[in-house]
Amino acid sequence: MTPPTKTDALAALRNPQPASLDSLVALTYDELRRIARRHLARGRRVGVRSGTLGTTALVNEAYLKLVDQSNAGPKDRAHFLAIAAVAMRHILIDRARARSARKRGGGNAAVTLDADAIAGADDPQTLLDINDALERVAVVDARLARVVELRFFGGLSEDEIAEVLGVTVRTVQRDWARARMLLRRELSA
Amino acid sequence: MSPDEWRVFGPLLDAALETPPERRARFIADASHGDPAMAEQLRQLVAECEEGDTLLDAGAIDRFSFLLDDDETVSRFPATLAGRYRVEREIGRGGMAIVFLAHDTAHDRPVAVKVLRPSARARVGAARFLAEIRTTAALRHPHIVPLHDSGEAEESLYFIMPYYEGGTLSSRLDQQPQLPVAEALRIASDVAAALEHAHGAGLVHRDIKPSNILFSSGQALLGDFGVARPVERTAPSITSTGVVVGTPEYMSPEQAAGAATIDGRSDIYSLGCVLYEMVAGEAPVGALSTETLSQHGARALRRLRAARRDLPACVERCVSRAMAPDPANRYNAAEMSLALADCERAIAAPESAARRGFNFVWRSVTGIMLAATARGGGRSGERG
Repeated sequence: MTPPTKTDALAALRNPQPASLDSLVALTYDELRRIARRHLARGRRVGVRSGTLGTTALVNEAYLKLVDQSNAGPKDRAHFLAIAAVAMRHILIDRARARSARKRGGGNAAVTLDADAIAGADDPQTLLDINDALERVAVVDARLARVVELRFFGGLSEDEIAEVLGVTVRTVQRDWARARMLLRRELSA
Repeated sequence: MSPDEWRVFGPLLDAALETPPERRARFIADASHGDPAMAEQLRQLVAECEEGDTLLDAGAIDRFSFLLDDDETVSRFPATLAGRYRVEREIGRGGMAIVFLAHDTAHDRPVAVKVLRPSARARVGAARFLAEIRTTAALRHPHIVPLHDSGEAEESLYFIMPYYEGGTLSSRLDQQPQLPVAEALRIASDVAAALEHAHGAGLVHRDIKPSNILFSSGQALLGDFGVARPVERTAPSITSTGVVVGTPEYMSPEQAAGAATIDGRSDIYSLGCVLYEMVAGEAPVGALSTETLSQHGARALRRLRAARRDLPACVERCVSRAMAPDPANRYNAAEMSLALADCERAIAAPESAARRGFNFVWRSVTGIMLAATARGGGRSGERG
């Protein structure tokens, strides 16, 4: 299969079909990883800790790169962000799983000079726990889980989430409150 | 919450949240049709929705971007280094470095490529790191892993070592946590010989642990010489936040305290910990914050005796001397080599009645030395 062009990407956003959306997620997955790597390498050169990578900047850069800008409007952007949220969730969960598998396999992982320790970063297991809980929330209420995915993994604003889901901003706010409550219950269950 | 419950409560909760707070009590009473349990559950859900929560405040990427960083070392590392090392697969990973198996095409032999993680590399200038590596590369000893080559590729520093199929002591202990005493002594003895040579050349290892001890044709070799030191020396920002290079379970008290100068006796302490682990089946537990170092030392020995009741007294003596809290009470590498060799001989010799009597005497002597060690440790604690 040939990689979709910027125009194909825009068409896929406007007329979503499962196959074209899947290929757009895959494309975005690769692009986000490339952009993230570049940002992190630049951060290291100027001595910035890796924790400063911003979701919005990252996703926006992927949008400009992948989607034809001459015809795209704010709605298209919001729909692309929704795709990026899914891709970003895959990327982070894949990496967290790989790490956690290694940790289980190797007995001597407890070394203090570690990227995690230095950046004061979270345990990857926390992310895996959130992801599992989110999957359980999706069984109870798919839209609420989607709101969390868009906001937490995709960094979408309330306005953008409202656009993607076709609801009002006020509804997004209530959904967020209810979703967070359900997620917290799943995490402590 | 089950999907069935949520079908009832989800929409009610949504409507309750939409109702202005002053009219909510009324709404809940109406919506629950006089069912007090239902009213209570609805009130609880509303309260939980209004609760502040920081769990998801920061976006996933903002919090977990280090996961992407990890990805980079593996995916961007070139397939061939310096035109001759063909990288085949990842074989190990620690906090500071990732190890790959590679093929040295110039000499048609397998080699291990150790790549310093970007996080560690960011704090060490390449020139300085490679210079330190060169100094330590001068070490030649049958029980020290030699350094074939080193270099820089794709922002990562790497060095090339022989690849040993015998694996590491760490993986050996994963399969068999308690080694036969004779084998544990032989391994410790090989490492002590390596230390004797390195300390004689004025070099301290600083990170002795099971994953740095490798096996080749039945011999133990000490790897990673000169790796911890340049990282530690160039990392004031790290140490100031309490991060010390080395591995907590095997770190000497003075190294853990961030002492400015550390000598070979710090390595001896770490080797003592490794010997302890090989015979006890578990690494010595670190000191509790409430106990002094001498109390910790005494507790460690009690645990060792409990873990291995048949432990010969000479092994216990080697562990207690090597792990003495005060460096002044520890062996130097040559003394430890001798003590280990004596112990190996004593165990190989058939047990006689005289020998048992000797062991009894030695147990008392150990007790006396332990008491002396405890006093020394107290002084060291006051200084710290």
